[in-house]
Amino acid sequence: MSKAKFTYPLPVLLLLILLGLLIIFGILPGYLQGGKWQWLELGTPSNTPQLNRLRQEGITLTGWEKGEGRPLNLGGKTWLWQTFTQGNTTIDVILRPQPYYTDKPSVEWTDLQNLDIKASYCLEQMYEKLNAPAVNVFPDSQEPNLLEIIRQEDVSRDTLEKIINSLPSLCHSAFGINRTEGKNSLIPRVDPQNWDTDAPETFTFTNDAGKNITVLLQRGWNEKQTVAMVNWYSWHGGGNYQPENWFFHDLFAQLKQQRVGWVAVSLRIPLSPLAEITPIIPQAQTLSREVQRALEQSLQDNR
Amino acid sequence: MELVNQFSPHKQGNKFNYLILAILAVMYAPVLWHWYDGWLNKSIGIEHEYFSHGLIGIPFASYLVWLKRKPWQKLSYQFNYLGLFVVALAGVFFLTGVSEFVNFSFTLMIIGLTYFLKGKQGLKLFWFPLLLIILAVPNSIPYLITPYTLWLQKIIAGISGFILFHLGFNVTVNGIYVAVNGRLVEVAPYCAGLKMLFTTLYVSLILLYWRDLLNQRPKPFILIIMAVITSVMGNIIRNTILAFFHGAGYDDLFTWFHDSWGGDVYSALTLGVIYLWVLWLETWQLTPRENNHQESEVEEFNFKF
Repeated sequence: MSKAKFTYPLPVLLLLILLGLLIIFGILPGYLQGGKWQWLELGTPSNTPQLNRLRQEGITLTGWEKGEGRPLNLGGKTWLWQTFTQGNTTIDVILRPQPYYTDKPSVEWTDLQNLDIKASYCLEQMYEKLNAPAVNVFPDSQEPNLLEIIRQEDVSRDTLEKIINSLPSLCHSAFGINRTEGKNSLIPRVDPQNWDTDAPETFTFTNDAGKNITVLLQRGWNEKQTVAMVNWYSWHGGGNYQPENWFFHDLFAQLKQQRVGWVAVSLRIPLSPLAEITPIIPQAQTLSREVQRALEQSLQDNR
Repeated sequence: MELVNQFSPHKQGNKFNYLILAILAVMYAPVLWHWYDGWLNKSIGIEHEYFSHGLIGIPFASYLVWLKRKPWQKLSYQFNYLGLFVVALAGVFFLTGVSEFVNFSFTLMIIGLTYFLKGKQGLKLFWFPLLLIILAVPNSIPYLITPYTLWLQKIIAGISGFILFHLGFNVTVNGIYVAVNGRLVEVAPYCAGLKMLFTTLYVSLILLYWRDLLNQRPKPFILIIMAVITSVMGNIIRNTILAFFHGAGYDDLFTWFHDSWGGDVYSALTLGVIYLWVLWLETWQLTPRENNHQESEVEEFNFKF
């Protein structure tokens, strides 16, 4: 009896078989490769080159005249600002393609809530201009940068005007010249923070593949303009304004060893001052659908 | 007599336990190593750092399990199929190779194995160390709640602006943006203080257990409430200091406090305050509840029928 054959109950046998299989198929390959675990490596979206090109070139909308694409810094994040004109309507599209494969959407809409894109752009342009070599604007200047010039006591009105006029034309009205205590100085006439957002609601449109895409619609305004802001994260095959929607798409794509590259989009459609926002929805649906189509074409993985 | 020949918990129980532990170690050592590397070197990502309380939590939980090894051995084996099913599920999650699922498989695995081996009694014995470990398993919940912290960010921005205004600074607040002397600071979702809140709650839990306060109602609830208040207030002050450093042009101090060990010192101070709350709670003399009171009421009630 003391040397009786030792038998295991069935559940214990099953457990040992299960754990054994896990070790053979789940762990051993990793150890044999010297600690190369699949869960350590987060893949890159297969359309990363397309995302990078989108960041430079932006999108094209059929039937709309495309304006110059401008890099824009909003709340520490880089966007691309594009304008499209059709007849006397001009819409703005700002895009933020996924910067790096580890970056997730981070509720970009809250960054945009209190920031005026034009003012942000112009102040950024001026900041870069002032820190860049002075010879860019004044070919015979000895100063290292424009900042040194505008700090001088006897800086002339002409010099400051020349600096303002060297900015892109849409920023010419964003700065003025002030004379106080015998000194001319540059003053901004715009404030990046001068932007209010209200009346949030959502609407849904379908992309060409028939997928429903729910977007966030808000009214953005200051004393100069009122726009309908349509915000969503777009990816190839779908989109949604909520980061968690992207998260679960991406998570399930990872099961197939894929990733979902995303683009944050904010589309701005002009409204008459402080107009109601709900009547704009049909037009916004059409435009969003076109933007989504253009983005999906750009994000098409051609491999 | 067949049962005698079968697997005997008393003879083979320890070996069997250690075998299971060894398998667990082989499976999850690389995962835990990766977590620790991410916590110590901040090399994985901000969501991962939300669980850095695991640095102390996991060793502490292991120690508690070790302390309770004798009562564990005394429990009889259950070997139930529900536990086996949970272990199998953990295996499926593990085999996906997706870090989110691999991490979650650890939670399932330890619960499943405990339940498989010793059933409900086992879970009851190890509930606290299991809880400590589960709360330290990194997941994406901190990421998923960021869209819902806007109100907190606005409150923080508002109160920071209010404090700085009364200290005589030139402050404007618009939504989540605080401008001090024209320099803009954004109260981002990850500045909302949820990381510190998680850590303070976790440390409160450990302190409650360690000082044996968990059973002394209402002390655990009071400590949890005090921890939430302390952490939220602490975070508002932290954001105020940051906005001040930025606005007053102390950029190196801002970096020190925001990205370097200045923040860690601040966190340690906050946890010190939590410990003070514990000491304060310990001085409370709870009047012993008259245990018979309720029973007698019930008896009276029964009498009437």
